[in-house]
Amino acid sequence: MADYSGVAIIGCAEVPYQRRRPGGSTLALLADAFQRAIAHAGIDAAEVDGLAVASFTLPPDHAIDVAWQLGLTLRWCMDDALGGASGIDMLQHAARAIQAGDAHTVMILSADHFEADDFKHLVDTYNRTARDRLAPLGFGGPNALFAMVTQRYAAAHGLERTDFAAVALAQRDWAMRNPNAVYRSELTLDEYLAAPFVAEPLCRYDCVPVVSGADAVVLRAGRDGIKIAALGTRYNGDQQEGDGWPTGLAAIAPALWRDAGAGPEEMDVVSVYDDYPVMVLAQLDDLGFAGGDVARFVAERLGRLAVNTSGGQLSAGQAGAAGGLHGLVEAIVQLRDEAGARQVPGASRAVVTGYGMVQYRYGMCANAVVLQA
Amino acid sequence: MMLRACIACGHTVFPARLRCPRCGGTAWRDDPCYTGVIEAVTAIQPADPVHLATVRTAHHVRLIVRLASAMTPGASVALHEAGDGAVWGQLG
Repeated sequence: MADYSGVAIIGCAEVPYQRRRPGGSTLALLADAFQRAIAHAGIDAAEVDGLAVASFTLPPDHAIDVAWQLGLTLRWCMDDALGGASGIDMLQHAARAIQAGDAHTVMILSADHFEADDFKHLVDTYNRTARDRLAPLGFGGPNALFAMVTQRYAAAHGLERTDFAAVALAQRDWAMRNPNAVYRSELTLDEYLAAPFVAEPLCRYDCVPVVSGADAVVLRAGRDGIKIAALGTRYNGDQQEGDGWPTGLAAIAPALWRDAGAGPEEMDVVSVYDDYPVMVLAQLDDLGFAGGDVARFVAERLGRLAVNTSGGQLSAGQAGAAGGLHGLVEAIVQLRDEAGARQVPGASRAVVTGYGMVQYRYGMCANAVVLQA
Repeated sequence: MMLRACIACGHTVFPARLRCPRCGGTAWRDDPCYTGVIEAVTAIQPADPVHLATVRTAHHVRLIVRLASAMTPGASVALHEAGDGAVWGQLG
């Protein structure tokens, strides 16, 4: 059933991302996001009867422990483990719970706090395959994997480094107008091309700055707020036996746009999960933005689309699992006309994607939501 | 090194998984694999670079493989699985 009526997004929040957060904690970040979100939504904590949490660093606690920490009595509670796809996954589950009457007001929270070796430990033990087959290679995390996807995607689509640079540069441009982005200084093509490789052909500007932070979204039964016009999901779409593209979005897109009653060209704001520039291009292509010619799309169209208007994770930062909510929060902020210096005038429709959970060579998850103000 | 082949339909996978994605079978056998072709390479910097490659086997299984030194796409490699689970490739 494609109908998501009777559910409204009434608020959101982001705890400013920080590269170092001495003395911080995942729980404190979740609580901070919670407080900001209920204030933004204009509701009382007591009204929240549903909670969804995604976090890599929350264990040994889970969502139910967060409910206890926050003093919430719930009818509905879930943990989400879909990483970069967790935001839209939680949105889907929360919306359905509200439609079914299982909850009335749902708080969606994501946060991660990283210290010293936390991130290295996370990538080396991400799943069994990472622990048993990738860590022993000394792979050091997903950069090397997506460096190779980038290489093959470039060869298949006739792209140069400058095409991937275009993604990083365009997003940095937006980030310069986002006071919360961790990278806000101008980035030039010369700087990009001169930057040493991290995992060839990726340089540091192709890789997200890992930060500590949190995001939140509040949904409520009713019609007053931002609506879900369409939502699609596809997990383990190609059994991980493909190239890393097309992503699951290619299969999701036709029904997504049909249900939304609109096409890519009618989206005022686009948030694509940007763990790497190659995945930004692949997802935009899969959604139908590139008309089958990615090189031409980059040259003629990318710079004129409002993509990842916060600067995306590449410039704003990736706060672990909160990266899965970041693009959604940015789209909501834009549709609420609260984006300040980076506001897309009159934004009323947005498409947001989720991606991630690398199984050996690339991510397993793809999802997307179209929002309507 | 060993790939895993579905006994029911012969489909080959790596890493191992419980049910065959092609036929749903749950019985597997070892499928020895000695060589592959490099599809992509990268060097993780800085300091002593770690060279990794995406290698395609004859059964079109893709592996992430460590190389002792830089090599180029298209090159053939001899594959060997170390005791710690790492798959290594070298000229061959």
